[in-house]
Amino acid sequence: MTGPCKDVETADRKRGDSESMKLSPRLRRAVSALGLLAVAACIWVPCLHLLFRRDIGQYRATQGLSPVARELASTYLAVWSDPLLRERELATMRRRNPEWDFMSRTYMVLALANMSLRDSRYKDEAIEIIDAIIDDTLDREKAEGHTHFLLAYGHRGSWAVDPPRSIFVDGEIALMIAARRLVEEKPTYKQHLTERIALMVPRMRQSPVLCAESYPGECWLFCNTVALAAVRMGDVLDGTDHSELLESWVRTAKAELVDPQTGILISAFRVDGTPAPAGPGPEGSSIWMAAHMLAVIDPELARDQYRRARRALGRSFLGFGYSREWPRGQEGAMDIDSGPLIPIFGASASASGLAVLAAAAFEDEDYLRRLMTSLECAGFPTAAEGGLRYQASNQVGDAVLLYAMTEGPLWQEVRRRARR
Amino acid sequence: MKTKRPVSHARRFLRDAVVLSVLFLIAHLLGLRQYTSVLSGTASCGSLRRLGGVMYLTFYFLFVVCVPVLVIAAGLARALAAVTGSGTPTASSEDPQPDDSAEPQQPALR
Repeated sequence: MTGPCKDVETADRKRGDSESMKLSPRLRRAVSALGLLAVAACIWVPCLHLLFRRDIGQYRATQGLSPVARELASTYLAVWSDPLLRERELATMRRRNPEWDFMSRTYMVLALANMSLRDSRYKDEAIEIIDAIIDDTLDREKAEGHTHFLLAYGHRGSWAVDPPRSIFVDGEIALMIAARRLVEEKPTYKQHLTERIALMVPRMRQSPVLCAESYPGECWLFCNTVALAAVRMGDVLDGTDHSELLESWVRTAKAELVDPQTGILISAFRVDGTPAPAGPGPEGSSIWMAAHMLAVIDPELARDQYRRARRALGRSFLGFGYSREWPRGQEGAMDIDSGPLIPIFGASASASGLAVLAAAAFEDEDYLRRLMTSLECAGFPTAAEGGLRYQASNQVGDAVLLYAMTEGPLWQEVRRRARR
Repeated sequence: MKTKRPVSHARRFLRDAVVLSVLFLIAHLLGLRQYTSVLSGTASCGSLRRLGGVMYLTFYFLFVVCVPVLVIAAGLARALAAVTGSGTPTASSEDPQPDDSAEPQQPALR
């Protein structure tokens, strides 16, 4: 082949290549549109959290009630003051999960106790509602049986320790009564608290890990730390001394109930301390609350557990904070405690709600701000008649949030009386 | 013979942003926000209400995340067209309205 012919052929081939590499107009338009959208997303998405971020002072006040806490309280004071409204709300909770009914009472009592200690103007109303909640709870327990507030599997199965009793129920009732008495003494409740503690402590002592069952064959960290906090409060109220039990519990928990990977206390275990299938490792829906309860039992362990949970479960993405239910690599199956999880992130609504409480209690402002930013974005706060409620939440979720926003004075009172 | 005018990226993005905003507004005005309790597993009032909650969540997140992105992208498209002085005509449409972008209009005849 001669030189000029070869040149022509090469030029043709090049032209052909360049034609084939040319994008069709439609594809070119799509690519340029995608490019513009990608640039716009890079601008907007990192700024999105700013749309929802509010000053932390809106949620937590050093004295008195913060503006958001006041609004949230206004809604629930109205609900709890009206017997019909209260019954309707509790019935909704009970239909879905009897534990929610029960826990919404506990968190509401804790929130009200803190509110009245923060601002004495709330005291009379708060005490009236607290008494109504406690009395109603005791009445229901008496009428429907001790397991009334348990999930269905609490009514059957064999309990390791006889007679069957749940420390979930005893612990939270004792905590409510103790909180009430710390705000203002009520002689009739003194006997109730003494009896509950007398029921719980011997059952805890029967276990090598000093923990009692919440459900047949299941001891939960959450419930046992609540019970211990109630015992502690009983000591400062009535001058009893369970310090040996509390110290032994801390020692045993550190030795027997710690997850080797994270150093976080595990969630559920059998009476002998072996991990239970329901929660064999650390869980966000347990540890945040447990760390908060431990703050009046062993502050050092409490802070250590908070730090570890923060590292293993506390997350932030583009300014939005959340809590995982399980540490990475230790994922379990979604259950009623974890609630629905957000795929990929492993974020749990219930763990994140309790993380708000722990972040507030351990004064972790940065994490708290990020968590509240997520709440403003995905909690769907709705104002109505001077009140506020988070539509994506429910009564127990809102009660946890109100408690998180008011938390502080009750535990300070326990510490103050313990020193005295 | 029908003429097909190119619709600019800007116009198309803004149109999509308006559509998503209207959808969210409708969901909001219908009161579907109250059914977002599906997130906490509380909405037990039937599948229709649960569906309402899911719809609200979808439109809300589209409104909060996608609408601003579309508006910014529209602004970028306009700015780009103004800087380069040439349009980036996009997908054809049978929309007979004139394009108000800075891009030169070259109606293509079919």
